[in-house]
Amino acid sequence: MSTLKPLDEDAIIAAAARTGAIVTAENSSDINGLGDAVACCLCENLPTPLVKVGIEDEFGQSGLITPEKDELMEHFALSAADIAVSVKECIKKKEKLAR
Amino acid sequence: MATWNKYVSIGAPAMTGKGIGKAIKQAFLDDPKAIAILEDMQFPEIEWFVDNMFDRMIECGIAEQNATGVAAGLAAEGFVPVTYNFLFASMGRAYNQIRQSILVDRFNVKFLAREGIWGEVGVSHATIEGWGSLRNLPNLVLINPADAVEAEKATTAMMQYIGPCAVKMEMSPNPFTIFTDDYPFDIGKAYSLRDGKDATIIATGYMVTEAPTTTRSTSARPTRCVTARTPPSSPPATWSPRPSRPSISSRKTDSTWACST
Repeated sequence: MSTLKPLDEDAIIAAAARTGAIVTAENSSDINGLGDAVACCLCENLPTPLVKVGIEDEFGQSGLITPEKDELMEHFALSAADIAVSVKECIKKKEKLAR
Repeated sequence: MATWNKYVSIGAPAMTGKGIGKAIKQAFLDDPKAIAILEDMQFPEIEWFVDNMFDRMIECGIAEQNATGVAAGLAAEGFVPVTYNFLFASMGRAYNQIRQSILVDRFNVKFLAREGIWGEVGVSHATIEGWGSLRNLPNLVLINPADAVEAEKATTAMMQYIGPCAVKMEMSPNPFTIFTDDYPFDIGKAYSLRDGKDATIIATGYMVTEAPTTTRSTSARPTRCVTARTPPSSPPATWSPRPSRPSISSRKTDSTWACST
């Protein structure tokens, strides 16, 4: 999703219809960013379980970044492992709704 | 086995700035009306610009509101000004000038804005709130490219688009090259990297590098559990500030970190 505005609503709705679970990931505040834009689009068109991955209402800080280790990604819980946890959380939400 | 799209090929890390620099150079060669507005910052490919485009650079110093006014005036005369800065400075500090002088009249000004968390710049320059604050401004197109290839195509698209447009430039040193050179970029179009059926990850910018890795690491143990967040269905009765986190230097082990959340 390279363009935050204008938002590709058709692609979002099609993805939600196909998988029924959406996780958004952005390297900035999760307030009023990609996650909120996608959530708004889905609420209006096709309510779907959603989990946002982003920086949670706090400022950035310094950290060491090397090809092997990215301290900031770990600190702000933005790494692949964190997205994986969010995906599992979202799938659980989906299953709970289906019951 | 999921099928990878023909335009996707995960390659070596390459900074998005290189793609943006390449596209900006070409745009200035193609369009004699393009003007670089400097705000006491480097510009992409600054050495080349000093050697070849010196008369098309205007240094406005650390005066972002003024620089935005200069850009608006030049755009009113038919030029295509391009500003480059950290987002908190170029677009945050000059928010009112961008709204009043550029967006209301839909002047053709381009913004290259650094945002996101990376490296050593710290709390002052690691802008996290810029995209959120700009999203509700009318007439402004916001693009957040994922890798060097998409950054180049996005910058070219931005320069060809007539109207205010911003491209976010993330400075993390480790974004993988995701797309092949013939990847068709369109403003306003999302692109599916990989098919799946259980869940969809909608990622933007640098996080597109993390998302494909996720699909291979579902058994990985997270260092911090994202599920610890308050579920949206049960908000606290009264708002209370989040507990302060330890700074990275004081963090010894992951277990210390887990206790603090």
